[in-house]
Amino acid sequence: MKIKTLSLVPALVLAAGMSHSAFAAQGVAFVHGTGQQTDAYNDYWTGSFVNTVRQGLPNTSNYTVINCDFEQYMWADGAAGCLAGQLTTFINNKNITDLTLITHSNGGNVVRWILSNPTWDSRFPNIINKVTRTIALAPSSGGTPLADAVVAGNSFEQSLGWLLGYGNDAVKQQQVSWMASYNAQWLYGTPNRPSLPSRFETVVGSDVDSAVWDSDSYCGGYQNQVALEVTQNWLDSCSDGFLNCSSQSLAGTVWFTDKSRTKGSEPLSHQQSRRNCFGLPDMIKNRI
Amino acid sequence: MINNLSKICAAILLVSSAANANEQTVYQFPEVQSASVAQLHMLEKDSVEYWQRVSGKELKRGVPVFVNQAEHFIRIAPKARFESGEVFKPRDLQLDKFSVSDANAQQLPMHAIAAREQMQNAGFTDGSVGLKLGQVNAKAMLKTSQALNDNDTYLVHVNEKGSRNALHAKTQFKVNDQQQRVGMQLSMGQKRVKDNEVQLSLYSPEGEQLDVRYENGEAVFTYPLETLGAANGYYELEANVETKVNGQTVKRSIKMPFVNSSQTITMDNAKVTALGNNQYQAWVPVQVTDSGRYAIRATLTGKGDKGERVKLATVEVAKQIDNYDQFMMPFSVSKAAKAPFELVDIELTDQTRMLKFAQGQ
Repeated sequence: MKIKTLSLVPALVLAAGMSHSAFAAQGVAFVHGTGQQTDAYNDYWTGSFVNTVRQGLPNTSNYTVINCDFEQYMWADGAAGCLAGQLTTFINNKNITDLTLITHSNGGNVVRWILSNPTWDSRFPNIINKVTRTIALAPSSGGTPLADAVVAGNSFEQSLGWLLGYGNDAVKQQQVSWMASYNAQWLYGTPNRPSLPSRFETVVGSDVDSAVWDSDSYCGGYQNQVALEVTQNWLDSCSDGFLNCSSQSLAGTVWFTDKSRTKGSEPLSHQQSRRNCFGLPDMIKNRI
Repeated sequence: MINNLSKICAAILLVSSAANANEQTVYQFPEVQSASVAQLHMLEKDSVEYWQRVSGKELKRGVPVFVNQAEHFIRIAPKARFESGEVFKPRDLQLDKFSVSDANAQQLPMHAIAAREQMQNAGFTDGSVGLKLGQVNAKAMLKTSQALNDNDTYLVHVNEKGSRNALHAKTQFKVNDQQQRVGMQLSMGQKRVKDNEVQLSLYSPEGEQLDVRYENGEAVFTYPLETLGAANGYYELEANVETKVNGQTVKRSIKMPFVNSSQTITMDNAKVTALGNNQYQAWVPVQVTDSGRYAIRATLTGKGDKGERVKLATVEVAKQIDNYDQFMMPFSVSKAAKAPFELVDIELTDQTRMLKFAQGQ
């Protein structure tokens, strides 16, 4: 390998000595959760959420909405590889020097894969060096017992490549014991593991308000009461209807737990933590 | 500023390496990394659930469901069947066709909880329906009056949240290639589960079912495992346990993942060269058993003023390796230190198969 670095050092010293703000171009990328997205702006986040958050940028056009196949394992080319490709294009096209990632659910795991495995892909180091903060909304850092339940008894279907629609690799990956193994060996940011190279701040959803007479229940789409009755069979009393609070707060540091900061002290269900509900995008706008 | 400089240098190295896929990818951590914690050797898990595959014929005739507490949930799901090279997906289930009776065929109360659409909203997209017994009875029979095909397959999945009768499993997570057994301790409370109470299944990462038996706290395979590493997911042991607790039958299922591992990369002694201007290079000769992309992470150390060993910087390097090769690890450090310079906290990774090896293991 030929490495030509020494002759560049004087120029680099000069560049590094100049004011950071003279170069800083801040950007935001919205990273969706489990699923194969082609229009995450409309289908996953909604314009109302994205357009509120990006008002916090000095240049409001420095944002991108990621569309990848997060039904694959987080390390797969269609997942982390796709994310790396879209982030690299965004960084290069906009000359981004200071990148904030806003993730939801399993998107936090795909981002942690990149931040924890810097040489897995030659594009990862440049991304890691640009990311200054991740705001992880309801990240599934510790997996969810619901993934175990969905996958239970499905071993035969797995051999069919999940063609029958019974689940996917991302669901398998988010089983609690599988995530425990990834957190212990492959991912940073959980207790007794190396720290992530940049801040990873989580927003935790702790409850679900699903009363039919409460209009707040409808923000982000009505959370079906019966569906909750089903999922609660697998979840703790502190959950967002999909993830236990312990899973959401396992990696990084907790920025806040829903009711402590939301308008009206409303809880954020798993659907609501990616929508314009109870002042969430305004809080993110003021944070970035 | 030096830190910024080293980041920029690292970025330039990467631009260089990205030009050729066979060249190295280099990353210098902003701070010295701590030693890798011990490898994951054991996994532990509890289960208060069981699941069981039944045929359409059995479901029409009546299937016993073992429920021992009021808080519970029963899910019934259609499962695919493979026959003569074709995949058959069974008919969707109708919740209102289910009923529950006791051993004397007397109707028992039942609560229909969730039809297919509601289960789908809860994340169960496989056509499941959900219900609950109105009266706890360990000898309840669940049946349907729906005209199901006799040969179709369904899953009966019972969850008793908060049950005292949790099955505890402790299994070996990393299995050495050619090792045809895995430690798997199963217990319920203080009681160790007996061999004849366990039905064990083994699935490959590709979903293929393999021969296995449970023998004195170990899963014993008939044939050596073929898939190395975790890149396609894990092997899984599924234990179905039926035992008696205070005279009542308790059924539990549990799945434990593990990885089939082999030392695919070994290294020889590293040679560290000081280039001056706080720049160092470490050359690490390696040998691999299977070609693929491999990585090394290590921390450079030198001697401090008082002769103590000082950690200077942590670097990770990855490249494609087919046989014998060497990693060149460039270090850019901000602290002054004296020779001898050595690498510590070395971790080797087989990125192609997803295997990690702490040096010395």
